[in-house]
Amino acid sequence: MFLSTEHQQVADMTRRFADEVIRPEAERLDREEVFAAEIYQEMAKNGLFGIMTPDTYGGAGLDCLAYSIVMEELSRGYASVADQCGLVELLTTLLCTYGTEQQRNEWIGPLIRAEKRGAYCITEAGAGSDVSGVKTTAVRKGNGWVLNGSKLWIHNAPVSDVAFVLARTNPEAGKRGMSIFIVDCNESGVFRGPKEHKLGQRSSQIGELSFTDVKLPEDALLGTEGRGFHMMMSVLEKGRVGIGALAVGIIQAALEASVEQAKLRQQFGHAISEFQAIQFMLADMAKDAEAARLLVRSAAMKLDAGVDAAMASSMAKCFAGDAAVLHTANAIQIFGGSGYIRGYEVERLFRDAKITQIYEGTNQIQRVIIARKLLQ
Amino acid sequence: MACLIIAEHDNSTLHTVTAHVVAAAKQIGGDIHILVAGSGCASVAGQAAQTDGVSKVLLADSTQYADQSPELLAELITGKMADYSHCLAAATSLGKSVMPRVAALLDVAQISDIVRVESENTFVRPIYAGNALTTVCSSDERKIITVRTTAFEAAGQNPVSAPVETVENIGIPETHQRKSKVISRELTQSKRPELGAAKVVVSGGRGLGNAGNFHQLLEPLADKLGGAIGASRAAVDAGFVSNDFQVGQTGKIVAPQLYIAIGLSGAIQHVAGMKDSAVVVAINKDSEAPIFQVADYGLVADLFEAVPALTAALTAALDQEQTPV
Amino acid sequence: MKIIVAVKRVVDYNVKVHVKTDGSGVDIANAKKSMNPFDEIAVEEAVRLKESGLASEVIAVSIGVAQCQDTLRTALAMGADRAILVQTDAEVQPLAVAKLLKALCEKEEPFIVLVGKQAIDDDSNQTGQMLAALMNWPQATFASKVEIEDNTARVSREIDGGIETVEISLPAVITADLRLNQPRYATLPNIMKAKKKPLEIVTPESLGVDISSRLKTLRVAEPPKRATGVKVNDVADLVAKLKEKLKGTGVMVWPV
Repeated sequence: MFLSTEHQQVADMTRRFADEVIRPEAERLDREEVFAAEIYQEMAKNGLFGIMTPDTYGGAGLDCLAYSIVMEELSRGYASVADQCGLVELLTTLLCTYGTEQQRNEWIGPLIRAEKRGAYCITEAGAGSDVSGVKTTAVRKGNGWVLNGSKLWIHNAPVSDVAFVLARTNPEAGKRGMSIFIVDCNESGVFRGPKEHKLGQRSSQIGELSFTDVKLPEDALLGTEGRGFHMMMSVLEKGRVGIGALAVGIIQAALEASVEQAKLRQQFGHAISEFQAIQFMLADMAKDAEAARLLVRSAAMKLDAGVDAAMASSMAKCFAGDAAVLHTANAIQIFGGSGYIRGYEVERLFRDAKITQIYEGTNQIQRVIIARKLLQ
Repeated sequence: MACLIIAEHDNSTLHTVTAHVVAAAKQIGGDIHILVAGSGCASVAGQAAQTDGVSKVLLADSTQYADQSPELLAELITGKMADYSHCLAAATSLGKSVMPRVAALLDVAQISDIVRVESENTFVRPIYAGNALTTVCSSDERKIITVRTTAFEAAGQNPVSAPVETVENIGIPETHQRKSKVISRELTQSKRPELGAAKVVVSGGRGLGNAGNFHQLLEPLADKLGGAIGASRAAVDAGFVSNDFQVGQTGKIVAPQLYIAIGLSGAIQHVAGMKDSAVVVAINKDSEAPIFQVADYGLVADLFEAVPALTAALTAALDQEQTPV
Repeated sequence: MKIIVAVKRVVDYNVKVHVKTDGSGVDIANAKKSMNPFDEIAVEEAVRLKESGLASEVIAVSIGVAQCQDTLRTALAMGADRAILVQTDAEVQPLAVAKLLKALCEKEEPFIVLVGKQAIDDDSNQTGQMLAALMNWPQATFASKVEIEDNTARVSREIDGGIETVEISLPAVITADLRLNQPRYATLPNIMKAKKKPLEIVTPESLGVDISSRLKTLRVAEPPKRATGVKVNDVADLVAKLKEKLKGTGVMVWPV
């Protein structure tokens, strides 16, 4: 796709950053399952958090197309690092859209500068794809709220300073009875569960965050009471563009590694790239990478234009996620036995890819959305 | 047609690269003169005069040339060029600094780093880090050339000395001299042969881990082979050795009989500086390191075991050699 | 106290180029282009001099096709204040580049011109020196450290045998070597700000400079390929093979 000078510069800069700063660390971060704190400091210095946040709040002030480009290039370096960028983007978008001036000033800067680590808390034991199952409650008490409940598989939970928590404020009102609260994780009553050990994206710190009688001030409420579900849904499309782009980055990394390996690896006296079986796998990888990229960017451009992007973002996320899983598996096939060994990039890419079919709405949910749109 | 060659020297010894430049000039044809500009450098002129193919040496001996400042040398050379069709220098720090100035003052192109002479106006030179060789033809009346000395066998010695002529009237205005002066030179002192001219080069990369390992592992091996030490850019950037050890597109270009690459991946920029070596050995634990693509002999091994073992094996072999049979 | 920094748009240093089959040149039409890495170092140094208060303005200059504007935008995003493109589709060889820069120097009167020591496409390593000669200025090539005091630059240079430190009076030309600095990334916010910085386009004709080529490329060829080597099993195997291979070269004298 032809990009404007600025978008191309964003792509070039992020790619270079990923090559020089992220990629060399990916293997270690995966092996040690550690939070990439130093990399996030570097990213903050170079404006790689808060891509769409206006510059008045310290963001880069770019559009969603640029955001998708950044996510892809970061992910080509290491998907976990891209996911951190995606998380900050989501939180700052919520703050920019629904926060009071005071909330924005308090949280956007520290999140973008990687001084504070945020967590976005929706999922519970009984509420995954079906968010209406949320049981966490926030009850009014005096001038504030009291929060109780437990959130599972929360990104950054083991290291977070601030959590954005979806809780029920009116048990009778269903989807209209949920609200989002900004919770300081150092408050008494906030407990972190142990870090989960995952298949892939292992530098992303995932765990439980639970709340027992956590007292929240009045201004902990983000936006309007009872509109939490709506607010959460409003950033989903952007989230899907982000995860779609992340999946594209994984495919791209797999493609590059595969092409290089195919040219290097000799069998039967020939480079395996001379065999059609390998060529076809590479060709399919390249065309799906490009197709996924175009779907993602098309959805991003729809969001930028302010038109309905529900179907486009679901298609992009679903296609890119499926393609990432398929083609990272093929990348291992091209590498043969060595691709199955820890320490090889394609082995990690395969593990990193799987979650892209699950988080930010499973690919089954995406298909439901697409079908619903088709049939309405 | 006549060639003027700019001697490379340190005011006492003529550098070996100059004989390689003479060889290139011989292929161009015509008279070959060498200009020795320096301070107290008469002995250099004597050495230059014994280079085979040289018919005259010009000696510009003046304190103002002690530093061989490119500004002053360029003016001196430009003033002499009325008598010459070609001016050549080695593509060294000095040649690269002086020759473009000469060319600009004469309003002609400069031809950098030639590796082959096709005719008096047509030359072959590498571009894109040596990934392509371009043949260029100069339309200028005077050709100002730097020579990749590894591409030309050195001219031999001639027992009969060519005449040495002193260059007169080399006064340069006082004001000019103050524009540039050398404050200090920190030159690497080494008992090993010079990197650019060594028959054996042992080069190390980032795989050596730190400066201590770099020296402890490579030096005994280099010394055993009477070789020089080289380094990849990564090793220099990591501070294992100083910049003058760097082999590559922007460092030294070497072409020894034997090049041993240890713990370096073989980036194209590095390969550009060593791929004309006669025999290349690579030792790296990563079997897919690109350096193996240019190596005659590749050893996939942990360098921390393989290098001491290689040094020991060579010691044994050479000791055996010294024992009379 | 202006600095002019010249930047060239070249094939990205990660791209391995291929020679066209007809030998007319190198196939670069679809290759990714970037700022010459040495010029990037020069931009960084210029911006640092400005940030430390030693320069008032950094002017980035590029010469070439319209797409060189992208390269200039990168220089602007790194911190240059404004840019000038000398636009031409013609091949511009180092002497012509130096003449164009001379014309701009006469107009802008910089106290320092910073350029990369060489471009990684033609590997010429000439432009800075030529400009210095045309301006009758001193030069400091292969700079690894630059200190400015009053009207003097003290420059450490990477030379063949080690490091040389020279003092040159300003105005002067300084050419950047690899270790002068580590260039910054053009941050995302700065990429946006660079959009609004002035970029002037001039032509060689408007500067009154003849840019005709003095060197004609007759053909371009692939260098001879090294034959594929072999992997050896161990050190003993390696020594045995070297022993055989190096016979008669005088590199090592082996036992019979």
